[in-house]
Amino acid sequence: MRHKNCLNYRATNSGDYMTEEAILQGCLKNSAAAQRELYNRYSPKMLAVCYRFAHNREDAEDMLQEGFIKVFSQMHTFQNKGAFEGWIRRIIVHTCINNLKKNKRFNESLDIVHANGVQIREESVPSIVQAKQIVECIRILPIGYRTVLNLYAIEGYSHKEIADMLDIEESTSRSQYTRAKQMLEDILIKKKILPKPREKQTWLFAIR
Amino acid sequence: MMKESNFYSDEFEQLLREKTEQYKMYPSEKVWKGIHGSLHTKRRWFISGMFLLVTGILYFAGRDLLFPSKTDLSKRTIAATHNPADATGGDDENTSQLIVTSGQHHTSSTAGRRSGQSSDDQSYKEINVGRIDPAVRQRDISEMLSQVVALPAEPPSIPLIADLRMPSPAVSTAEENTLAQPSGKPGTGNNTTAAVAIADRSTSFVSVPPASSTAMENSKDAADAPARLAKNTVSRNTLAETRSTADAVAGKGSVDSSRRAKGGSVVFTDEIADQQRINWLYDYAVYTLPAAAKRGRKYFQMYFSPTATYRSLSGGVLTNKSGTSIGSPKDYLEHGPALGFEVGSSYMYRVTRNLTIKAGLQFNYMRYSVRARGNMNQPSLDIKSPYGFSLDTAKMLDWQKEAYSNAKPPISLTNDIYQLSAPIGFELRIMGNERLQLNVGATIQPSYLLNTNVYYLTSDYSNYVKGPSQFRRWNLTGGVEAFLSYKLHNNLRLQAGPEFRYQLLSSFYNSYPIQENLKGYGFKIGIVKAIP
Repeated sequence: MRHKNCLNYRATNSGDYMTEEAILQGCLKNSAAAQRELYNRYSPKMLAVCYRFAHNREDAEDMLQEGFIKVFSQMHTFQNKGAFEGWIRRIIVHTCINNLKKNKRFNESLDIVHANGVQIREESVPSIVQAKQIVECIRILPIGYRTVLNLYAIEGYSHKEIADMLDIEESTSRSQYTRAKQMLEDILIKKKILPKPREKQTWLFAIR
Repeated sequence: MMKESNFYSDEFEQLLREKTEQYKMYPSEKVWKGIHGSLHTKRRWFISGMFLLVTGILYFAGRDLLFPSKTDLSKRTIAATHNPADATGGDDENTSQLIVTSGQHHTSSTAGRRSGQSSDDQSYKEINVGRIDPAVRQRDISEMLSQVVALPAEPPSIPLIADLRMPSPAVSTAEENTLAQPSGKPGTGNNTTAAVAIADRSTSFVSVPPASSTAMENSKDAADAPARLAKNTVSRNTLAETRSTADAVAGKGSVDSSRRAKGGSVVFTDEIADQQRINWLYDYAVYTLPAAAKRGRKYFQMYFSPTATYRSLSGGVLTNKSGTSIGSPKDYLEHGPALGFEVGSSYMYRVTRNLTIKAGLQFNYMRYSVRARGNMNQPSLDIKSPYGFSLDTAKMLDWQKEAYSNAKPPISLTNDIYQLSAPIGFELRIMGNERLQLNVGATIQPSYLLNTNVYYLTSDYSNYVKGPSQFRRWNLTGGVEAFLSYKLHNNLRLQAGPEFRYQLLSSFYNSYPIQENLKGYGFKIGIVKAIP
């Protein structure tokens, strides 16, 4: 992972009445209560991850369920060397990728170097950029672009790792990402989430 | 592995990451149910297994006890009355076999029953069903024939040929010889042909010649009786035909049948026909019909009982912050019953007319609920989880909120206990007759804990813990019951009445400071089937 130490994962939740260590120990004993607590704590974030990869919410929930089953069944393999949330997240992401790879359309989309542009209707959005809108814009991308962009820009995987995960060339991953990034920028601009190019130098300050 | 480009230099990616990290979605409850169902399959298998077990027991009980098959009797009746193979008779050899069988049957049934009578007193006129076999009363036979037996559409063919005089001793001896029963009597069957034996035995079916009791004992066992009866019936049909052959053979033989060969008297009388009907009915009753109901000593019992389980607590001392005792945990805990059930079966043995002992196997599903008084002045009753977190987030949050606000806690925890026990005890009839009885019973039940879903206080009374770690695997329970027993059928009784169970040992190990004894009240409904 490129930036696993950069993300601000919480190793402990001292403010909560239940420590992460207690959850871990409980899950190792197959305690349903501990499992439920772990699920309650991380499922919202993980469902958002799944949602970015999935075709729809239903598929995302299926991925989440499968991913958490893997998390609980492989809990004994967690070695406390990294963040617990990061470990869960990696399992969830791999579960999503495996699910996508079962889809023939996904495999074909990865081979398309020049994906067709998406038709985005220009519309005004509130000045306050919401996370949900960014996520929805990402989901507009073709599935091949979206996957590479999710893995590289958000999840922090390198192009080599992405190439291994998706069984493609590393160069393909790079080119897919470049195009995905350009397409997303266009979408965000059309959606008026990002300022137009002439204002590009200052858009970052604008949305913050 | 670091990214090729500087991550933070790409503000666009950073923006994406920050915004997506802020985004959360809340999954539907079915996702958790799917996860939980996949991870905790033991309980599902256990419930499925118990369901199949109970269903199977009820199915077989219903099939064998409530609706006993009459197939056997039907088959036997059909075989005895409508067997085409036997009815057609076949060739002479078959006919001979039939007749021999008939004679054998006759010997085994009638002669044996008449053992002890004078050999001179062999007249058919003395045949008396009521006196033939003391074990079978004439009334029983009549009752069975009238209530159970579907008699053939046509009355049995009655052989119309009979000697008023009994066969000679030589014939009887020949009969024994033919039946492969070695005899030490001199001159036994020396020159007697099988045909003579056949003929005379056929005749003797009507006139009932005696035979020694030894002959009866050595005859074929009663298991072959139905088949013999079928053949016997046929033999009567063919008797008239074989008679002529037999007489002809007898005329050539050395046996004392010359009188018959010379046209010995053939008598057609209604009396003979009646007598043969009696014979036929007797054979039918004895060898085709089931034996008259007889009260056995062995019984099989199956029962089901919805139960409400409570618990009684003892032991343990609660102290406040200053260390002063403020009572026992039981003073601060409330319990409520919940509905469970028990199902089982027993093997019972009637020792005396009123006393029955029994042993069996029983599955207990016991439930009760626990509520704790929410008083912040009693911090020991602050419910937490075994790991310092809640067992059920939503419930515990509610509980804690209210507890911390010094409100009465609303939480009610349901404890489930699954046990397998082996009741051993007795039943005593207090009053009543054969049809309706009042009984009391008591059992002692070694029990094995199969599974639990139980919350219990930690030893410092500060937390509620879920799990079986402090539970005894083996325990001992006593049970008493009173019930009415009603006779539904000859071999079937229905029982219903209240019962009470008390767990003699604490649910927990001795190291646990609190003793918990479960007690259950139930209403037991059972059926008891006599084992033949």
